[in-house]
Amino acid sequence: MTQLSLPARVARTAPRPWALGLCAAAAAALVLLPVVYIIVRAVGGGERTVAALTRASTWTLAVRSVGLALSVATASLALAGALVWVTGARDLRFRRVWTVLAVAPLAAPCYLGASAYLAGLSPRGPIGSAWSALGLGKPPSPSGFWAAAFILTIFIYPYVYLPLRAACARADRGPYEAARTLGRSPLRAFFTGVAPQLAPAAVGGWLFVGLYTLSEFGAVSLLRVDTFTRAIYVSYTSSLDRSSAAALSLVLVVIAGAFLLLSDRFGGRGRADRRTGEHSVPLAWSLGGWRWIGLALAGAAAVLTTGFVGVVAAHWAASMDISARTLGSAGSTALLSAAAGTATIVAAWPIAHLVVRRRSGFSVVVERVSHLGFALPGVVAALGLAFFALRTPFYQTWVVLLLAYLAMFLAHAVTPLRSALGRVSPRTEEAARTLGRSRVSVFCSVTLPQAAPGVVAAWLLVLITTARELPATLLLAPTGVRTLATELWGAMTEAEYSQAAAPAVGLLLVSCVAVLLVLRREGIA
Amino acid sequence: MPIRFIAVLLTLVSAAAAAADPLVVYSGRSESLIGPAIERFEKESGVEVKVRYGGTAELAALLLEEGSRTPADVFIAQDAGALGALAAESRLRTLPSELTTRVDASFRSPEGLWVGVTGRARTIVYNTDALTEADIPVSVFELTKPEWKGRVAWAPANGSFQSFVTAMRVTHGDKLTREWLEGMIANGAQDYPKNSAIVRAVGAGEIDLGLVNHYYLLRFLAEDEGFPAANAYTDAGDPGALVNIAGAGVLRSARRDAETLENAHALIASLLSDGTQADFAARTFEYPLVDGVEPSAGLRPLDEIEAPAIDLSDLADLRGTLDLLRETGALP
Repeated sequence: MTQLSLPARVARTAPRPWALGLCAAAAAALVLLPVVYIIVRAVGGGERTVAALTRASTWTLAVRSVGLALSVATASLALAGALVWVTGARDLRFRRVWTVLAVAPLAAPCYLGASAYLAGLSPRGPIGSAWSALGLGKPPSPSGFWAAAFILTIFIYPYVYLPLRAACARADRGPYEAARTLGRSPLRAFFTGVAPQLAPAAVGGWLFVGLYTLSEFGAVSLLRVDTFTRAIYVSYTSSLDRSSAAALSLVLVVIAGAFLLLSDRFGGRGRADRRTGEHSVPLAWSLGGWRWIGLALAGAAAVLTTGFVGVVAAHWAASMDISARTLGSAGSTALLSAAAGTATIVAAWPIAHLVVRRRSGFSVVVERVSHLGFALPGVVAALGLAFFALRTPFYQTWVVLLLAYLAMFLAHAVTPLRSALGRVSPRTEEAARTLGRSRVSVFCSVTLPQAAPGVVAAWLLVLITTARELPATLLLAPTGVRTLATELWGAMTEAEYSQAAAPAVGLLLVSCVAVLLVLRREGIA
Repeated sequence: MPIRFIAVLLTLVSAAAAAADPLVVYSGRSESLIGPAIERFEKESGVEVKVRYGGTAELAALLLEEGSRTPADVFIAQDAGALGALAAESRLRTLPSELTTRVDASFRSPEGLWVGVTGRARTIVYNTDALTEADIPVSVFELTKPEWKGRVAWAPANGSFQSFVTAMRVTHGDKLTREWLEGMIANGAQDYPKNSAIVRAVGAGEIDLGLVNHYYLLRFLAEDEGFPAANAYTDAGDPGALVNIAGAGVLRSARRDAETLENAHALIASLLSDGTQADFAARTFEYPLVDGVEPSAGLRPLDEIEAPAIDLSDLADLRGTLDLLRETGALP
């Protein structure tokens, strides 16, 4: 059969590879830029850096930071596991409500949760005043390591809950049944048959929460726990010599990188070793006699998160005054997040295109480098870029802040863009080219509409993540520019709880949109 | 490429904005305290002022790093130590003598590089529900005793506290200061980010004592007369009774032109004018430093406070204090 020969113009269907490769490499290099500058600064500090690295207090910081990360990760895994067990049981009434409540803490970024607890429990706050009125004495003031571990756990656990729940939905009852027929006890059958199927999601979630806790800045600062992020921020803002901050940042990046590598190696979506073609039965279980304990647990989690924050938020909403300053912050937040979302999509697109359409060693390397952005805490990104920008005309402008957002959130955008682009068939594009359309026209009329849902989802994801971002914005925002997050931060550090009300409510509203999107994606709402 | 276009556009916009030449101020004092005075200057002179708020040490570090490339024209510091540190690195420009002679010689730099704007006394704020004035120790060195375990709040990241530690190093030497810092940490001193947070916590009963500046309490009392806290002063010569100044200086910068320099001097003159000084006395309850303006009633007069006899320019060794705070673990 003779092959149809395409017109010569169409034969070059792909854009010139080097242009695309250059864009992708530049975007990925941006992720490394802050780290490079931190290394430059640390090395430039000479003996002050060495002194900072070998000080006893640095090791105490390391132990405390990693300890907090491991505690929060383990507690989150335990809590998430228990809630998956409760909300997935087939004899639970109002299952959808309980699931929504389990996911709801995503609406409050950790520093907002900590602010709610601090404001709520203060003597003039709604919970604190009720506490004293009930004659229980002085309300407790949350601060210190265990308070931070508790508050972080209850607001972070959904990041383990969601993948674990998805893994349970995909898991197969077969191995469990087989183990039971061989005479194993239910518990043993669970561990040999079901647990291995859930392990990647559990381990991945555990490591992800650990990484998230390492990068967490707002909550640990408000609750006065000295971890790396807080130490770096205080060191940068309160000392005349920045080598110490650079040295601490290096250590933090190394630890975070280790968590990320372990997460990639041991975490995952689930083992693909299930034999194809076999009939697989989904897992199902009942709460049975454990019903009341399960409900008590889910109820307690809901009260401590949604309930508590809800009460404080209502109090805030009732007492807040929306000043011109808050409106200005809201405006800046909207502008910055939209700009960050757009810039990130544009920067991530070449990487996604390379990975999906022109897979090669180079594209793998570029994607791995951009993936490192997950291990880049906000404080470190801001520090590195501040060192970089000092000698450029972009110093103290929006540009540097935008670059920081790009470096941190590029990794977040690549994955959804990959799936979006993966769903667009190249055949359709080639067909359009043979009909005489130019490359740009094909992109706009064929590729973009088909990839649109994924692109929009990625844009919204970056937008919401940027709106909630705190440390990088604190350090890099141009003079006089405030976002809702930094305004809340300013009010909380001055202990002006009444001024924290308006920005907090604004942030909650933005985050509720995020939760709704997540619920829709997971098929819960 | 869209990103490059946006970058170029933004640079052009910021360059255009700079061409209109607003006065750029770095302020280590918070907006609620200095903002109104700056707005008053803007209205009276018609000069646009852009202020970058931050911690005093942070901004001093930033200025040292920026060097002559700094976009800032004026630096308003919360304490003399930071101004002295900048003066020592030749980052400040000599002020005209009609500005510096507005205040007493002890409240300005001997070389005329910076001038004090308002005075502040270090105090121990205490919760009046839990303690009486007789309970309060007469020296900060007593706060390391077991009876005060976990009951004292401090703010090591705050510029005024850092100046107080420098004063202790000047009067009592590095060794005793180190011992005091280590003793306080061992005695469970609670770390707060800012002075206002400490006073609020003391009033709320969260903590019994705090090492702060005198005026925060008076602002709380102005809003709520029943606020259960009071100021106590330590005895003669104790560093706990340090009288410091918040001051200002003009920065040496490569981009300076005559008009901006004039505006910078005008801003400082405005801060030292009788009207603004009276405003500081009445609204923020600080000590005015200009002759003829009286402090708020109810304040212990400045000459009755038995401050340690040190020259404020001796507080310039901020770097040494920060190193000490970091070594002892008071700062991470």
